[in-house]
Parts: sequence; structure tokens; C-alpha cells
Amino acid sequence: MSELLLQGGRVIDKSGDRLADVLIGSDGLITEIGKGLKGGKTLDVQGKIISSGFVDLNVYLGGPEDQQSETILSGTESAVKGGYTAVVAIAKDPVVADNASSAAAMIEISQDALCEIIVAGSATLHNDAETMSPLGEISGNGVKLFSASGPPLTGYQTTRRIMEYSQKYGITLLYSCSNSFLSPKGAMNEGAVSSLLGIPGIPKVAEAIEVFQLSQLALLTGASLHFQQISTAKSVEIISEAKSNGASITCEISPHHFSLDESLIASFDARYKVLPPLRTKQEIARVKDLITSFDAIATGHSPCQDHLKHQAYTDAPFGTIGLETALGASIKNLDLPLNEILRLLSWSPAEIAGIAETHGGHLIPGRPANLTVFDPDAAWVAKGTHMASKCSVTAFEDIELKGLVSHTLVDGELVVINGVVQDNKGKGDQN
Amino acid sequence: MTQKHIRSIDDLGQSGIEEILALSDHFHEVSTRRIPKVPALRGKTIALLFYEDSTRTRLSFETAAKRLSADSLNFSIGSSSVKKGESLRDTVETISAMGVDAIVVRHGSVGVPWLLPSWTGAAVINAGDGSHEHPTQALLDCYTIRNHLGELNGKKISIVGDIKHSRVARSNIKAFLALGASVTLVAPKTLMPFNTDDWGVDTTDQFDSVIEDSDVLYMLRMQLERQQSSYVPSLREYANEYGLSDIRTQNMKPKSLIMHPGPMNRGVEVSSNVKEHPKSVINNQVANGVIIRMSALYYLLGSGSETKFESFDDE
Repeated sequence: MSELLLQGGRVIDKSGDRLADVLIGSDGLITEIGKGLKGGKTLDVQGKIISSGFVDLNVYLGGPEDQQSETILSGTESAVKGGYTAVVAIAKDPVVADNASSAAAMIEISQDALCEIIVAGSATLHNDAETMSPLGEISGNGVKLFSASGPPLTGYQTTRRIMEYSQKYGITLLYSCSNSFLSPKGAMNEGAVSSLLGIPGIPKVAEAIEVFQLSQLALLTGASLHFQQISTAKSVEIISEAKSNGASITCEISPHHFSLDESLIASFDARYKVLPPLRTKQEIARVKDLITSFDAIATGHSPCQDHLKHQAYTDAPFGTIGLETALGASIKNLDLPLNEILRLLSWSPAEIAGIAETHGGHLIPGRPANLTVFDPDAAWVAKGTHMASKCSVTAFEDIELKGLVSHTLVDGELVVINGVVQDNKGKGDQN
Repeated sequence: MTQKHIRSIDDLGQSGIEEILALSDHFHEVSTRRIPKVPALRGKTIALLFYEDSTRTRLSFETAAKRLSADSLNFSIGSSSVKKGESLRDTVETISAMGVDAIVVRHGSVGVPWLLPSWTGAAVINAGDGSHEHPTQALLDCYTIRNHLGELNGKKISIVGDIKHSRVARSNIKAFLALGASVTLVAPKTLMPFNTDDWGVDTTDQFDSVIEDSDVLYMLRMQLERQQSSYVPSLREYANEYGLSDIRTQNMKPKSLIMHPGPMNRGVEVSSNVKEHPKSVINNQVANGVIIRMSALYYLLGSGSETKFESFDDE
């Protein structure tokens, strides 16, 4: 790796916003930030933003048990193309790190990645919410984030005990509040559209009820919680109240939940089938009014084999890919200054993931150069077939976005140049 | 010209419905002939793709196709590669490659008829998609009502029962409203769609409040498994509250109709001899099913113009 100079960009990080050059040393660390720097190979980034790299708290990358939906390589190609320098690989069936060796296996294959992968464990065996997994043993591998699926229908005993037991290890529990207790067959938001289409609905309150219950348990136990993919204003209000009462809680929103509304489902195209479901335009407006209460934008990147998404709507699995559209959807659809969008994409999630020493944060000499360079004004139209993810079905198909990543640097290495992933890791046969 | 489909009553609108009802008068005449068959769709091929068992609807379409001299191909779930796990898309592309002009599809999942046009150039008829729509049922119901009451305009139609899960109700509401009728939905709140604010209908959970005023009582089939999921406490209580009993039929106004899309649960949504009641037109509905499906197929695949009715002549 030779010295590299990013010249003429606008640097935005946690400490603010300034016009400056960034010099990166051959060791991959930031050497200097300032005006009129010289040296190294020069990259002209005039008119572009240089940001601390993005961090996604909610990504499914496949794993040893599932190489068909996504691979570590294809998933992290997708990540770096979207400007991410670190992603959290969540536990999701069938890739569930619920013991020390499965966590170690996942960490092992994560070495093939184009960006940093933080492996999340599963707080319960088989991710079933019934039996606590060996949190201490798994966290011995450095795992500090644990997917904890919602409370089991049988009650909250296990949930409470996980919240209590986990604290010794400095664990943050990740909860997705999409329990199906009110809607066993629910496949979209409950309301006028679901009634018209005859699709079983998922009521908004199902999320709020679960968020309320878990927030109260967090207050009771003192556990550290992160709520994934919050999609209703009521949930945000409940979380804000619990936070103000001292709960250690953070929450994320996914770009599709503030960009796309349920009316798209009238096409019966399963690309719009996500969980939590797309909400109404009115609900999206209410959530956007509360956007500064969020701690992160996370994609919930959920690739699957394309043909599964080409089934009938109610038969197809939930989820959409999202790594390559997050920045564009955020700038296009959030009425926020760039530094606030970057807080949600970069330094705030870096803190939640426990990697603020190397990602996000303040860009200062001596830190690893995990950087994203993007054009905030570039308008482009999303096409699934152009994406690096193995899955080419995206909820953002044909939707116009604003803001496009041109370069991504991971530990000082240019892994994306002019929007093209540089595959130096010896990309194998992807198929 | 873009391919026409009948996936929803919305694909037809008022003018499309009227056109099919007008065609049906001609095909009704055909059905009274000694040989009830015309060469109107000779050379056309119609695929019947049924992912759900439905002997009645499938036979009705098959008979309609035969009476129009079209060839029909039958793909039923039990007897085809569908059972072997072939995807919907692959099945449709395979059928399409055989050269079909129309695909009649029934599927347990909503929206399947909307997916087909991206895989085939054939015209699509929805023979029922999940809880969503069943437009040819609505057409035959409109035809039956018109034949008995003259017109739908200004008539009061009450649809009674499990509206929430009913594709028949969703199509009928649209068709009845398009032809000028007013519609009241009658169901316990558990079986009423969550939100009907924009539907242009009245709703009530009091069956007895609508009986005297209704020109049509349209009784829906009650799925027997609904009581296991606590939609209703018991079928007995449902029958008491929402069943069309003999006493309730006595309160109906003169010249009013009893309808049911079948198959019936005698003793649940209708008392055991309601089908034979003088106001019942349930048998007419079945007979009209073949005629309406002839019209629907001709509407999509025929010349589409009434000036070509010579082709209805006997061979």
C-alpha cells in the first residue's frame, strides 16, 4: 500500500464539517488532515464528501450454513459499494452463533471480507427465545452484540434472565420487535390497503406493545438494549420515554421504512414484503418527524435467492437487500443536514457496535483510514441487477435516489474506486 | 393494443361489466339450443391452472371453453409438476411456451394473476386469488340479480358473513357498486375487514337490522375452521346471530332474493332448506356461471364486438 492523498474534499465527521485534504500513510492510518497537503498518490475528490465510513448494525451475510442467499464476499462487496466499512452480521436462521464454536466459525470466515465484520451471537439456543445460550463462552470470542428474538409466547422469564445475566459481559442485546402474536399470518401493515387486498395485516400496535414490554424490562434490569428496525412513531415515543427514565436503549430505522409506503404492495410484488411491514404515508411522516430520536440507520439487509422473491406475495419470504441504497435513500428522503444523516450512518452506530476506536468518530491522525467518499447530489435510479449482493431483488427497484458512493477505504485500502469494487481478495466463482 | 385481463372487477369497470352482461344474453340463447355450442373461439387454447381444488369453478370454465369450441388444457395441482415443487413462474412459462391464448388461474395466495403477465403474453382470468378477488363470480351474481330484479341500480344488497376472508365479497362489492346498487356488509367485527372507510359501503354487526330493507341477502360461506381461531365462539352462536333462518326469511320484503356462492353449509349460514325457498336463486347462479364464463372468455379472446355475433351460429 502506498501513500494516498484525498484532495479537495469536504470532510464530515463527528467533530464537524470542513474543507480539507486527507493524507493516508502506507500503514493504512490517517497521517494528516488539513489544507494544501502534498504527497502520495493523489485522488481528486473535489465536490465530494469524505466521511468516516458507514457502519450497519443489521446485516445478514449468510454463513457456513447458508452460502446461497449471500456469501461473506458478495455481502461485503455490497457493503463497501454502499460506503460501509463495518457491518454487524446478525444471527438469523440458519446462521445462528449460539455457542462458542459456531461463533468462532463465523468469525473465521469473516476474515475473507472486504470490510470489517462484527459477528453477533444469538442470546438463545437456536435463536428460539426459550433457552439462554452460553453468553459468557461466546463473548470470550470478543462477541458483544447478541440477537435476542422477541419474548416467547410462553412468557418473559427467559427474556428477563438474559437481560440480567448478559450485563456481566458488557453485552448489548439486539431486539427485532416483530413478534407475530397478534398476526400469525400477517404479511403487510394492517389498514385500508390490507383490507382491500385481502392480505392478513400486522397491526402497528404489535410493534409498540413489544417495544413497551422490553423497555420496561430494560428499566427493571438495567440491561443494554438495541431495537432493530423501528417502524412506528408510537414505538419511538415509548423508547424516548424509557431513555429519559434512564434506560440504556438505542434504536435504528431502515431506509425502506422512511422511503417506501404500503401502497406499493398493490402490485403484489414480493420485493415490498418486509418485516416490520411498510407503513402508511401518514405513519412515515410521523416517524420522520421523530427521526432525530433514532440512533442509527441500519439496512436490515436480508438477501435471499431471487426465485424465492418471485413467488406469490404471501408465499415469499420477508426482507429486502439494502446496503447499496441506504445512503441514496437517506439523502433523498430525509430532510436532514448531511452531518445528521452521517451521525445515523456512521459514528452513532459505530458506538453502538463498540468499534468507535476504529470506525466513525473523529477523523484524526493515527486512526485507521476507514472512510467513505460520496457525491451527495448524484441522482441515480436503483437497479437490483446492478448490485453486488448475490440477491438482485430490492424494494428500491427503479426508485430514484440521491447520493452515490464513489470510493470506500477500509484500513487505508481503496476497496471501491469510482463505484467499482476492487476485488483484491481473489474473488472466487460467485455462483 | 395491450392485452386485456380479468384479474379484478377493476379491470372491467362499469362498461366492461355491462359489455359482459350484454354478451351473456346472447350466450344464454346459445345455451338453450339443442346443441349449445358455437365456433366463436375455435382455434383458441385456454389453460386452466388451478392451485386450489375447485371442481365447480373449473368445470364451469371448462364447459364454457368447450361451448365456444376452444381447446382447454388442465393443470391441476394433484396431477402436474406443480406437486413436484416447480415454481409458479416456471409452470406459467412452460404453459405459455405451449402456446395458450388465455390462462384461467386459481391460487391460494393473493395477487397471483397480477404476476402472470410478466411471464406470459396470454390473457389472464382470475378464478380466485386467496382472500382477494373472484371476478367471474361477481359477474354471474350481477347477471343473476339483473335477470330477476331488472337492474341493480338503486337496489339494496346485504352481504352477510365472513367478509374478511372472502374473495367473493371483495369482487361483488366492486361490481354491485359499479352498477349502482348500495351495499351493506353484515358480520361480527372479527370477520369484518379491519378498515372499510373508503369502500363506499355501510357496515353493521346486526343482521336483523337489514333484512326487511334488503333486495338481496347474499349469504357467504362460513369456513368451519373459523371457530377454532376464535373468530366466533361457536358455529351454533354464529348460526343464531348471522344465519338465514326460516324466521328471518319471513321478514324479507316481497320480490327480494336469497343468494349464496356455494358450496353451502346447510344449518350454519343458511337453514337447511333455504336453497329451495321461493326467493332463492342459488341454482340460477350455478347455471349462469357457465354463461358468464363464456362471455368472459369471448370478451378477452373474441373479436370483442357485437357486430360479429354471426360467429355464434351453429356449426
